[in-house]
Amino acid sequence: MRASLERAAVALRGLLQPGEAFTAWFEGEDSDFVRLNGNRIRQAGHVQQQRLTLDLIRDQRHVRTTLPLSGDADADTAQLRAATTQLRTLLPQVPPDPYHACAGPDSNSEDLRGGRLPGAAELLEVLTGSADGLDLVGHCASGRLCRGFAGSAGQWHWFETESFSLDWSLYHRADKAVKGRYAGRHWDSEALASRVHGTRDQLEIMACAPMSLEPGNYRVFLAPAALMEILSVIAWQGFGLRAHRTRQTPLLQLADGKIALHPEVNLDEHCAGGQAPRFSPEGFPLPDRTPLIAGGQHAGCLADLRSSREYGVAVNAAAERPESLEMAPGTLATEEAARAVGDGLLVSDLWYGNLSDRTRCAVTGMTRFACLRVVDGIPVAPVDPMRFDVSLYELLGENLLGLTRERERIVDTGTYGQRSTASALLPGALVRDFPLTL
Amino acid sequence: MNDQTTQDLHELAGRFREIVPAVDDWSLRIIDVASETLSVRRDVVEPVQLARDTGVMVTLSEAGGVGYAATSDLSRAGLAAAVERARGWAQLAAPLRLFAPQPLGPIGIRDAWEAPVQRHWSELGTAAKLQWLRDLAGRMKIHEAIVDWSAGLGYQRRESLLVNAHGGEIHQTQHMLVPWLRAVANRGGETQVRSFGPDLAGQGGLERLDLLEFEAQPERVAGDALSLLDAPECPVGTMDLVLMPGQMTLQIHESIGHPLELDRILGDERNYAGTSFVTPEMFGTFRYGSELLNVTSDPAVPGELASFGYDDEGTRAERQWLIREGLLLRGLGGATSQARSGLPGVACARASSWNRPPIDRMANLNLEPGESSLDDLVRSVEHGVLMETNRSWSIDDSRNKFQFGCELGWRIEDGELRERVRNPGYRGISSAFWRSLAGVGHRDSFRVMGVGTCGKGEPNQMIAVGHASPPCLFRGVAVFGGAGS
Repeated sequence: MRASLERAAVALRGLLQPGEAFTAWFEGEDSDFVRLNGNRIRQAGHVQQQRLTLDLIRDQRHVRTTLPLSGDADADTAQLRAATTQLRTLLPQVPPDPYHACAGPDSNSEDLRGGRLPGAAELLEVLTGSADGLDLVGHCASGRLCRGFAGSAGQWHWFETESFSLDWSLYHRADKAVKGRYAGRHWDSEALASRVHGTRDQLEIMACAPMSLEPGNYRVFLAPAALMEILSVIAWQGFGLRAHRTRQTPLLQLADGKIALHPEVNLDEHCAGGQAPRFSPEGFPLPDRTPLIAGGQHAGCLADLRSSREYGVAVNAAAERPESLEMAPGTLATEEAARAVGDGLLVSDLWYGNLSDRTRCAVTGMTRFACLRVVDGIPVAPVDPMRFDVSLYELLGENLLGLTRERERIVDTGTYGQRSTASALLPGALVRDFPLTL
Repeated sequence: MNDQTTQDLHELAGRFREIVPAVDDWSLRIIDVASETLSVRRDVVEPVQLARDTGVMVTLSEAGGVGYAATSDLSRAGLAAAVERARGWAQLAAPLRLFAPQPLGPIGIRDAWEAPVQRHWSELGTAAKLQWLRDLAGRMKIHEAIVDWSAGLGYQRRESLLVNAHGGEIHQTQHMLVPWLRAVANRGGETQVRSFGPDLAGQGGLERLDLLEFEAQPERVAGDALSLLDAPECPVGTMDLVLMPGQMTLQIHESIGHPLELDRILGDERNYAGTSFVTPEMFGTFRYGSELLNVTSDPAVPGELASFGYDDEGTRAERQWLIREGLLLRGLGGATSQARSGLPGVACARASSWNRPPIDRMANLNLEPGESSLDDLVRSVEHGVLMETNRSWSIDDSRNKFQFGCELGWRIEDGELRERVRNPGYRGISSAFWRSLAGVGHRDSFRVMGVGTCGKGEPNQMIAVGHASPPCLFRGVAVFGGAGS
């Protein structure tokens, strides 16, 4: 795939006319996808795709097009020639863009993250073998992901990773299930088998008669994946500079200093620790770390190129949402979570979150998978799905009792259009008065 | 239809036929999408974005297994490589298959379908469209409290060719137009957003802008946002609820469309989008809602976003009743799901693009009109709220417990609309909610709408769906507002 971008850059330089410049953002993948239901294969296949987003620039005017690349040199060059001609025709029709800029000519990077990917047969053998006799539903994705950037001034960035992600549920019956995940770059069959066996063990408690809870406030331990669901809703507009300056962020009261979270709450966008490219689609390098919330106080925002130009700050994000969110750990031992809950709930996952009240920074959603009733520090039964509606200001404010010292990397298994490179490193959270509403 | 593109697609299919080996069954789905997005935010033209996306999905059945391979490499070598990959997956999948391979459609059909267009996108040049959007956006800056405002227009032409080993060949072209306006008002810690448009996406050309009276909306949108800053919070309690078509779109989608998808009922989605409270034995016997509830899957409503002639398995699309007078009759599942489940379905196996395989997706899912005017509905409410335009949605994995929020509400008292209220929301349980349906608007109040962002499937797929509905009245719903309510 690297050759595709290299060839495209050469071809585009040859196509430019005096006064013109270009930037080109490349996305490619070579991925296997397997979908399972009942521990059997529902759909299996392969996707190979390469896409180039090309900006033709002249006199601060620019027009953008995205086109597929085949990897075939002649076909791709012909496409680029046609695209450049089309963009050149459009350029006079658009006004100068005050919020556009090009990265400097010295903007260069190489980020190669090799791995050991599983063979398809090996992956299926381990996964389905480990879950033999169980109702496993899930999805496996594996392969090479590439992102790249080339500019007419010689800018060049290349990111290439080999990675896999497996995301499954073991069902006891109806909606009673436990969730399992295994993702990384270096495949280990024993590690996968161990994780599947771990989720198999958790199924035992799902066989107990489920409890129906009354709406009310509960003492709850949110596992990292559950906390991630809430933070991902907030992250949609919570940390972007544009959303802050236009007063649309749900964290407005925090940003205005009218509310503070618990002093243990520290959130960063940690590009250096994540799994995403460390350059923007316009070729700007991204900082290692951007503090977003420090000591419970608003600390910073994410600015993409357009916001950086509109509001006069440096580019520090590819888009104005975290791709490598990191939350500082606390001191609670994860293995003590049930005992620390005492009388309440252990929540492995939350689902379908959405903002319910922007002013209150409130999120609603559902419990899903292993949500367990805890009595005297011991999980006793699964709980039927319950709706929550909670203000982040309360959840991570006065109601936060502790964060775990262990953190989990939650890999985004999203595959809309292409496999995601986002991830988050989060602790679990013990909270009081978690409101269940329906 | 673009003649050159059509010729290219047929040539591509021809190249494939030359190289496809003798296997048990095969199909080739070619997709070519051309799109253009124009927008203006805070009086600044955003980058004009063109896009072209062309690729193929090869599906092969061999030795009792099925595999697919999708590629953007359309050369002879690229197609041959895709064939070998699909073959490899078919062989690997065979011993672990969930069900026996189904015939890869279309069976014996050669046909073409295209969405009608009166005023083509290209009738108006880019500069003219941008200037028009600038004018519209500028009209939303009616007050200093309007802190963000934008107007946009998107167009997409999606051309597909489905061919297979049985001589089937289906060529389809969709034209979609997505207009939008958005205004954000702020005073102190209070921010309110009002929008018009994304949920009015539909098939056709620029004539849709006149149908939607798009040009008349900017001041109203901004005015609504501004007025909401000072509006009281939506009242809290159990009361009657009138939902306008924009919110009905979301209500139908989440609590009728998704629960009726056969692949959910078959368990395919349990790891991601979820399962369904609907079980196979409910079809033909389950009372889904009150007798006023009539729901169809209709691929031929003029201008509706997910109109098509055939689904991506090659099954001809026809109007079907899913729920009639409250009784559940039929699910949303294509030929494969119907064969697996033995349940009645509709032609709705669809893929978001060439790089994803077809799965069961609602298409045009509509609530049929009743006999009441909007005034009749409001007049029959002693104490309640009218809500419009969805802004928040959440529902459990079985599609039972939902909570939805809207941009704008109106308090109703003694049969009359009173003041606007902000942050309106309501929650309920699907079947109980539909059984509380107490009034359905008539044909004149019926609105055809659609959204392009329905997510489902593994690997994930985002797809366009159409929904049409009149306003509806529900009795005894849990309603709430925002902070301070």
